[in-house]
Amino acid sequence: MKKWVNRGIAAALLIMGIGGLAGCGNEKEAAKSDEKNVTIGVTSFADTLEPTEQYFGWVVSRYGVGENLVRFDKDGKIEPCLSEEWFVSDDELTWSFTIREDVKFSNGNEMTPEIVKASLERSFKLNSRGETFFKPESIEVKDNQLVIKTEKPSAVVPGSLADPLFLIVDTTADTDTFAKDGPICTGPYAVKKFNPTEDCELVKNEHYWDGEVPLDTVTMKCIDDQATRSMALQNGEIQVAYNLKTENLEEFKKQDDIKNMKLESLRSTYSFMNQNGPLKDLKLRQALIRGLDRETYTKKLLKGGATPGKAPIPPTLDFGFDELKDENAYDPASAKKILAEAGFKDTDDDGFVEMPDGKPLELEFVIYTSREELNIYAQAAQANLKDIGINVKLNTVSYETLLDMRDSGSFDMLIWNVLVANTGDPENYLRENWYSSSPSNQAGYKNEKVDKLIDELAVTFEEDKRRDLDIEIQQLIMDDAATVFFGYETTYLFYSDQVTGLELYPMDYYWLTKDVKFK
Amino acid sequence: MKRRLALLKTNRQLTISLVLLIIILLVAVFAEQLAPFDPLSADMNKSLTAPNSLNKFGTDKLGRDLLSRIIFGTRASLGSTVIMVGIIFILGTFLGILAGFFGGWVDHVIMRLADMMISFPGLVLAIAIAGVLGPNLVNAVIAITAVSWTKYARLSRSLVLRINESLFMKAALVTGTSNRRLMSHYILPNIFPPMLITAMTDMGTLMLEIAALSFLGFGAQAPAPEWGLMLNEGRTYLTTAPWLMIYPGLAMVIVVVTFNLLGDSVSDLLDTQN
Repeated sequence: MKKWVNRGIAAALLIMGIGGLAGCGNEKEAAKSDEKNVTIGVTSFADTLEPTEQYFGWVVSRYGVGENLVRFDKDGKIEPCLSEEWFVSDDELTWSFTIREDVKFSNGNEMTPEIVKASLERSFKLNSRGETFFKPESIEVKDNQLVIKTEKPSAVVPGSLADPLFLIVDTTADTDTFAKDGPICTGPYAVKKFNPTEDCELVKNEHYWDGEVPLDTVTMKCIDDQATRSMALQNGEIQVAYNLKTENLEEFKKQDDIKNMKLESLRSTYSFMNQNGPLKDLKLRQALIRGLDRETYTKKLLKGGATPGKAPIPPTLDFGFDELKDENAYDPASAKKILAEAGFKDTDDDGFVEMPDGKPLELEFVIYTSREELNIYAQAAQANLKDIGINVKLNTVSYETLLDMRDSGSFDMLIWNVLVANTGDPENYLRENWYSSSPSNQAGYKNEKVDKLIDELAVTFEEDKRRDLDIEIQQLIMDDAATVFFGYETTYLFYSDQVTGLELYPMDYYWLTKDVKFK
Repeated sequence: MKRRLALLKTNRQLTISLVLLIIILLVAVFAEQLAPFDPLSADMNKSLTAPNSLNKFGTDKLGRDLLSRIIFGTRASLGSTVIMVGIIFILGTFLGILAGFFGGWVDHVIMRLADMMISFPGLVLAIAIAGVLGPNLVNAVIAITAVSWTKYARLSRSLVLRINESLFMKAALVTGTSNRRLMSHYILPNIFPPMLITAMTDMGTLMLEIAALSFLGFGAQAPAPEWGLMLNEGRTYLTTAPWLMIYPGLAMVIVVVTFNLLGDSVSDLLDTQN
């Protein structure tokens, strides 16, 4: 018997190996880790390194290439980076940032306030997401200061400028080459070679402003598959692995030289519901949300690797998670009742309900591959919704395709996993996803009251008032059953004990920093 | 009948593989009666339970019974393989006979088409086709069919060319037999045995190819119980829940070995008879 089991394992491994090979087709020799080269296993979603395209700036920032005027520290507080200090005028319309002197780009050019201005204007021009943070009326240079005027008072200007969309690039360099060869920035590392689906080779930035950079080269190796990434860390092909999950904890239990850290993260996983399709029916959306047993997903399926979701903002941030009333908590019986009342009936006896007008109902649920837990949420949702009679078809695509599908609105449900307080505050997150005219809101959600409150939030500076507004907005979104909130993931980082200086930041823009080095 | 029974007695390999095949077929046909649970019903509180007396092969991440899923998987895997081999066999042989019999431009068109298909690596082209058509089991079958018929076309063509030269064909031609009759009564019976052997021995390989496409996400889609897909789903839990890969892998090994054994014995049998 044992022999057969062993053979079974061997056969399974063999098949898996073949699959793996066919899947990537570019297996290379395991990178040799000599003294000063670290290889980091990452999941990648960037086709290019152009920081203004989609969310690709995140990758540039995570790779230690790009830096912003300000940055977030370990506690999510804003701290100086390329700007030494900043202040706002009394009318709360004018922000002045003192630009750090003696900062050079990786090509040796000096970073002047003029270039900073041009770089920020470039970000606003090239990415429509820019103006969802705040609308600048003018950006001007005064001595070594950058003066930003806004039309309306905006409390989130410094936090917004920490978003990787606004990382500072050398606009005097050939910006057309940024996409393929990497942007010219001020970070501790510079891009040497970039292969979108394979790896990104980084070299030390000789002109770095904040001390000596400890590593000569760093390779960011794209291993989208979780199991493969875990194995690469086990066999020493990579020294650091991002985005591993609870199930990997078990694998590394016996390996003493692999350490891990975790952080109750500020990421939220949710699914848009496209109101330009069958989901424009509020009753259907309510029933759908009530059909999902999110507590079991996070506790049992993800083995506690997440906390169950109900609201836009996770309980890790103090925005009234416990006060919010969730009328669409898990309740399959009432979900069925709502469906029946709204006229959804199974007329052809296939176990799935038809629309009130008799047409079959099939919801397309789009998910992407590089985050293993999304697949679990989606399949569990599919099984749960089958129980209440809603037919869901899964469509698994790459992250790049998912972005296109979201932008063109071609989905019924579409999974999304995002950092909630990307500006140190959830305002931008709420605006980006639920403001009716936001370019990212392609699900057709529109509630005038939500719009009004978000506008009000933007001009409110007082902490307590902001919190009240955030809570009110969340409650409205929940009452409208606008979005399925699955859960809030815990982030894990696994690394070899040879590497020190790694840190998990609540705003996960920072992976490779100047502190990462060999023991 | 008696002679056949005697044949089975002397040819142990054939007997064993036939018995196995019949068992597998029965499992596929009576999946509903055999499976202890609904392969799609998820009990998430039982996520990743190790094999026990209730769930003999354990459960998968959604708490679905693995044994039931493997039993139902027989339908998808076996069904799609048999249908696919059938289509490839008929299509390939038919085109091959046409090319060999008529020669000239018919031959050129068919064979150049075949050359074109052959010049791509099979699975890669299949992935491309399945990718364009959209991922599901039917499209996976279409994709593999599109790249696999050429083998049969080339083989049958070369066999036909040989038969064309034989005396009985010449005699038939002289007596004015119609083309249709020539193909169906003179050529087909003569090339049938070798073609059949090829089809039988190909069954295992082609089944693995379908599983490979499903494994890569281009074939069967969740939540369908299909072995390749199940292997892929279990991959994440290789160290924590190895049964997710062992049992579907084992099922696949058994079926493929059965097909290969059968193909082997049939080929021995027909060779000796010839």
